[in-house]
Amino acid sequence: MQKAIYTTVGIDELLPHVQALKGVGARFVQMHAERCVDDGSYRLVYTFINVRAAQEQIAQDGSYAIENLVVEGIDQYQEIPSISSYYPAVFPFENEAHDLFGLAITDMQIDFKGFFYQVSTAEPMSVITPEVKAAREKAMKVRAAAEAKARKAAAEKAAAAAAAGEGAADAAVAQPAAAAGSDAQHDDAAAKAALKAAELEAKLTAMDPEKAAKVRAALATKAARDKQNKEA
Amino acid sequence: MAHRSVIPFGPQHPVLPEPLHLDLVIEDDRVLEAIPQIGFVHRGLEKLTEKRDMHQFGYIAERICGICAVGHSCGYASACERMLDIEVPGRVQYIRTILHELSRIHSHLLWLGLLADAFGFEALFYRSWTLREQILKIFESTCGGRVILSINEIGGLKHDIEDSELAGIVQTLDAMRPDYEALVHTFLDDNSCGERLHGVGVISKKDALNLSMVGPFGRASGVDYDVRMFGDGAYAGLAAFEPIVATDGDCYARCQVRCAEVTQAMDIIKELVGKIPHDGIGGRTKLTPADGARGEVVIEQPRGEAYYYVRGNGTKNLDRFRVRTPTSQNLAGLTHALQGVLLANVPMIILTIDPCISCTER
Repeated sequence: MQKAIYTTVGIDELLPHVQALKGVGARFVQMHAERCVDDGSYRLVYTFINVRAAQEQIAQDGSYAIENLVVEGIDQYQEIPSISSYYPAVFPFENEAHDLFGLAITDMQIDFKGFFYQVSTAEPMSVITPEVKAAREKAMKVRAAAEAKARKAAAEKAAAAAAAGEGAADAAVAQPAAAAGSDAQHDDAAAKAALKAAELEAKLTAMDPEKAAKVRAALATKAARDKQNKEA
Repeated sequence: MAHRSVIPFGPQHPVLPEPLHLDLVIEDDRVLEAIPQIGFVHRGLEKLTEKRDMHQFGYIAERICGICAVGHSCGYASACERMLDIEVPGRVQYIRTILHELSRIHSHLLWLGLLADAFGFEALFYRSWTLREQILKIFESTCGGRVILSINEIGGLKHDIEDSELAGIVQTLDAMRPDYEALVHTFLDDNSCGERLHGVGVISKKDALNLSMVGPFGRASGVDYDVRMFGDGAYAGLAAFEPIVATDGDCYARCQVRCAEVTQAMDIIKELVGKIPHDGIGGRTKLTPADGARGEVVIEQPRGEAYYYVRGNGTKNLDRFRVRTPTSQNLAGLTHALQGVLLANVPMIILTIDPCISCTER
């Protein structure tokens, strides 16, 4: 059974990590770049397999690991050191990351200076198309709506539980008046608050997810302000 | 005094079936340095995941290359299944592996034919491709296509292959064996072949490891690495598996390894057909990868280790698809093998890495 291990490293830590992997005899498998749609940054993934360790692991529990070093949050023109001095086979992938993503990889052993691929559009893989952005936003809205639905269901459940608690309080009316009055008032307030929260959640669910998110943010700010005022 | 010059070799050249360019720095008729260049037919398939959903992209992944089509579709489907956390039935794994091993046989027979053609042994070329034709007929009778089989999908197979058809595959392979052994005898024992292959384009084991070489190209230099030895999927059901390794590191050793791998693939298919489970063929699944979910696999393609990576973004399209093919990994080895050889041997050495530029130009 194949497992994947992802280790996030900083740009400064990349070469020491690669050197350590080379030192233990790990094979270089591949390197690729990714564009992050949300923040526009880049990510590099370097993949290795330590064949000897994998065989030992398979003998023990039947599994083995593909090890990945991930460099996150790279700006387009930030310099990234080449690992070709440790693994010469990386040169097509580093040149590819340069030509297709526009990443600045330094000290490549074989550097094609941007002429590895003949492309009609410069850095084509760095382009985020409006369709991709729209699909991404739609997916986020759908996810937000699903989360809101789940929250609403949870609030309704809590309200029902509170109402059941109120019923129990009515049944216990024979209890001493002071204590019973206090508990009943407390339960009543809790049930009302839960019902109000459920109604609000239902309203928010029916809203456009983007608008709902804004309302939620405003409510959270108001709640924080009220809390501050109360403490003051 | 020796005269130094640069010969541009390719991308259009009689010995190259695909567009690969090499700048050969030569001194008299000896190559001092070779700098490869690809990218003449780059198709941007990895970018196409933005426009095609995960199921649709399976058809595109399969068309990355005609020879390794089965492997590419298996690799892509397996990576997606890993990302979506889908476990496919055992029968699916077995059928995928049987087809993959059949494609290894046809790929190696194609390569043997090209090798024979490269040193001008036309009769051997015809005989290799005649045998290969039988594998293509198996594909046609079981899946309907000779090259693109379109049997895999994420979560399973589109259709089953009946047990009687599987038994027929074993019969065909058994019937091929005598002819194949005669063919191998000519490749490995005939003087005219041996003289063109022995001692040409030697790469030591140390260099092969340093250059991360994969596949028969690496194993011919003594690199004891074949992804199948990890026992993923149906390979776990094999009684034993040992990578085929040679130590000379020359063109002859590369031929030797590929010849033996065809026989090994026939044995694997026979064993798997005998053990195949009957637990269904899975089926198309709903595509709901979590945002940031990843899946990756390595498989042993006919030309060596191939890597597949997928990353979901919460939509039906993938955020990133990555395939690293064996040829891209072996380019560094190719430049090394060409250093110091005679210009006349350059075509032979290029051929013995079995370059697949359409795989590389995904």
